[in-house]
Amino acid sequence: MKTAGGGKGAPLLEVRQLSQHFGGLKALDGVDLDLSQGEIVSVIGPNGAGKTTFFNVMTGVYPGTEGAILFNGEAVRGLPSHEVIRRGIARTFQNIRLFSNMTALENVMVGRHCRTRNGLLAPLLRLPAYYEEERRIEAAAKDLLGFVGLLSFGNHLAKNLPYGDQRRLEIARALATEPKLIILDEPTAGMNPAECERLVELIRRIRDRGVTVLLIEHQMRVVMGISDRVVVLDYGVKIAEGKPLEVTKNPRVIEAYLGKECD
Amino acid sequence: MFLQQLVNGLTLGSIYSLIALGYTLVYGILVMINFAHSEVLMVGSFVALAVFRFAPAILPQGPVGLIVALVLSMAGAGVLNVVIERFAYRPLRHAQKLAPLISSIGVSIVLQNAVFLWVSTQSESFPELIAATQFSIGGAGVSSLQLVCMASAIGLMMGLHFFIEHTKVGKAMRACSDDLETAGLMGIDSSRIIALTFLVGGALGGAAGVLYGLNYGSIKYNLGFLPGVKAFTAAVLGGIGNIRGAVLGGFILGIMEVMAAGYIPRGSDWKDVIAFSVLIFVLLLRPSGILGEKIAEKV
Repeated sequence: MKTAGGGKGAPLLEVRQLSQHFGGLKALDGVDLDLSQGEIVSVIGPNGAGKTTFFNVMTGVYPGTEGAILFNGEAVRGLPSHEVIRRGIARTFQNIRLFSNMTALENVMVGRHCRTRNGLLAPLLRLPAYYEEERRIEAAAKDLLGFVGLLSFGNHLAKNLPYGDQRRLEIARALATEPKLIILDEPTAGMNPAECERLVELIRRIRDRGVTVLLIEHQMRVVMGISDRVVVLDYGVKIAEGKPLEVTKNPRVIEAYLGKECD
Repeated sequence: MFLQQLVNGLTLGSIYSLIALGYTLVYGILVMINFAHSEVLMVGSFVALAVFRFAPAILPQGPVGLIVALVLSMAGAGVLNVVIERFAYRPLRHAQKLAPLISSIGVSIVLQNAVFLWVSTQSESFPELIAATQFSIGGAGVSSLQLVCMASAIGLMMGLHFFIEHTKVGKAMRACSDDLETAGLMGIDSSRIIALTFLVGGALGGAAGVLYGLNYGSIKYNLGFLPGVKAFTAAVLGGIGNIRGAVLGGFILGIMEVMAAGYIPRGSDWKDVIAFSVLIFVLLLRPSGILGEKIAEKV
């Protein structure tokens, strides 16, 4: 593990005054966020609040307009996605984006891509070292499929898996990149209560592996049950941050968001 | 007669298939038609010719010479394709879809004219890397050149299959062709994989160029155009973006063309009409090609 600037106590992730403007629209406007190793933090906010934009800037999909993202003390804003992932930030998607024509196992194996050597010569010459590595990748991928409870579906095409399983497969694929931080974009979207329950448990087990979790979530029961902290965005601005219960009592939050949904 | 035409069709089809793979690989990953591919094929055949002119010693007649010619042409055409991607397409990756298409037509014209101006305006005879001998199999005459052509093409396709299905980089290529952005977000350097796709597609085109020269005996600056158009058609027929589809489409088109030439009076004049009519008919029934998938609109 790289420790440059990431000594004990120092935050894993520091986001400073992060902005993303699209023309005149300030999708993100001066957002600050600190994450410590091993935390589970939820980002909530009404639709269009900038949550997914925030995740997209963090993972290099958008370059960001201003501000800084320090990960393990290293500036990562504006790096291409694959470089961000290499540094240890992985993600899943609001709309599932698996490689639909590849098997579940292959999807997870692709996640290992950035952690392995990818020379052309070894496979063409069929060197033993190549097969050795290929076996290790497959073993690691199977481990992860088992971890998310999909081991027996390894040979199924991703697109043929049930919806809830596809979400968990995306998580396995993201974990295969060996992230220090995993970003889950609405992981429970479209899930029934039983599936939600299993997912919450899975998120806890991810954290127990030492991976920090940042998630966007709409189901308040999930947010309240799992988060160490909650961050509230509205119109691209962070309007509140704190323990789940504190946040729900914050009048600005109630006004912006929870007022409509609080049960 | 039928058997004879089948052999001819399979030979032609194997060349079409190799070229079609170049179109379909690039389309699969960038959703772009690389019109310069026909010229990459042409340059590939000229690489073999150049080696023969300047260093005939390394191209002895026989299998060794053939393999050396294939390897060098594949390397030359592959690298050329990578260079084209780097300078003509990559800067336009975020431009509107039509821009790289137009750029590829431009590259195609540049390459054709470069060879026309600096190399040769005439047909040049292609080295006889393999001695032409005739065999008879079940009454059909088969030449050694046809056998070599089919065997090389099939060997290369098997190699490609192994590469795509069973190597890490091949998996990364499939991931990129499934969803380029997501592949990036899973840690794959998509620019590298795109370059690699052009390398592989160009190399297959270069091999097709050598096989073309071998079969027809002469090459010319504009030789790429017709097989290029046919192979592109084959790729669409099979389902563009689909690798098996390109191979299937190539063989179907090759066989159809040769059968038309053989069975229809004055058929060789009509063969292109028939080939393209079948294409239109298939596309009316299956717009996404024989093996192509219907792509649901992303919401």
